[in-house]
Amino acid sequence: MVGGENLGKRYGDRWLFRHLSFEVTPGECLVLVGRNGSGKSTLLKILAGLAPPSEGSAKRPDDVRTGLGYAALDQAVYPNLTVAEHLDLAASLRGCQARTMDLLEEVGLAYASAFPARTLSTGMRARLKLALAVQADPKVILLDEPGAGLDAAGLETLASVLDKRLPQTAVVIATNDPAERRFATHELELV
Amino acid sequence: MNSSWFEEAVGVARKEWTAELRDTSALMTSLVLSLGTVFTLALAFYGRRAEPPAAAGMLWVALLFAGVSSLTRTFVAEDEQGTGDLLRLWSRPSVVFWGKAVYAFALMSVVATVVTLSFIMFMSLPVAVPAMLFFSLAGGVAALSGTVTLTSSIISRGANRSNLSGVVSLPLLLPLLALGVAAGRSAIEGSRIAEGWQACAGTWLYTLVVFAVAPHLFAAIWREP
Repeated sequence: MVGGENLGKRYGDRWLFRHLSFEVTPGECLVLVGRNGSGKSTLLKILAGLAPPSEGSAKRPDDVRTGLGYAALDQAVYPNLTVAEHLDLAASLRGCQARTMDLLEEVGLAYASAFPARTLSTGMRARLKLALAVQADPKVILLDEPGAGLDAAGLETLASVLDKRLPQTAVVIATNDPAERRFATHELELV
Repeated sequence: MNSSWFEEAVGVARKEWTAELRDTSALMTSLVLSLGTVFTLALAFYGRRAEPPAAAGMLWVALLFAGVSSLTRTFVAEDEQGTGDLLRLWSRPSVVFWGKAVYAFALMSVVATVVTLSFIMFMSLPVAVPAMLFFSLAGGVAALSGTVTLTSSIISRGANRSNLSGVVSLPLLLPLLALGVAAGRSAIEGSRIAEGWQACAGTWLYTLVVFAVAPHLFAAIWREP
């Protein structure tokens, strides 16, 4: 389960959002929509524990390492590690099974397992980040613009990965893409 | 700390080494700066033998250059690449600190070995008590690694990081430098042996203090987004 209690975030005097209270349980997918700069990505970072709220509190699994998967457009990967090494490293730190080739097959990146991350295209990096996000079979998945940079096949892969996990996972997606909004069981518009 | 914790820390250290072996920027920076210092000193002292106190001081200056210039990049690089969040999501703060510190110790061990042997050779320096020099350098390198790993995490949050690295690291490293130079001086000239061993033990005590305190400080710094 993931959510927020009276969440608010401000930069200086400007509030991005305030008084947000919600809860997303397994089987539900909350899609955050709103204009650029409305705070969608910031809200996801707060839910992931990567940014502090200005007020209120976020609820997330106790063990973020295995309980929460996060992938964002602006999230970087290690340029000098290969695709497979990213999954191996993440598994060794999370204490979960790496399932490297299975996951790379699932996201359509098996052929690039030995490629250094610095040589990946935006779409390939998005697939790698998706594989990293779902590696530990987390209870919560947070995705920020997951389809950005993906081609038609990549979008189908994303849909397949989410469809497979949605019944047992709470998903929050920040996007304005209609293709990604189709997963929504609820929508939250930030203005 | 359990076996899982150990494996995770090894995972972070292995990641650092793998990236370093493909990039070699930290190793090359350390070696170029420290060996450049050694060669300059060797030219300056050509035909003359440096006095033991001066020699011990110069050796530590070379090691300090090497450590502060390269190891402060440890966390700054994560921040600049934008990969810090991966470690925040995947691992515990203590694992990140110890993994990075082990990597820093391994890197500095290589650099210190090359620099010390070059220094002794090019300066034609006889070492009266090699064991004392070895143990004081080993303790010093361990303390230097832990201290600079911590300061790197602090300065990675700030602006103007290159200036900050020296400003933050130097006051913390001054006691270590004093102990290291005192032990090095005794080791080279072979006098005041008891004081030299006390200074040598002091470098290890400093290491203990650093590694007892630093992980706790680091946890507070690392979790604060």
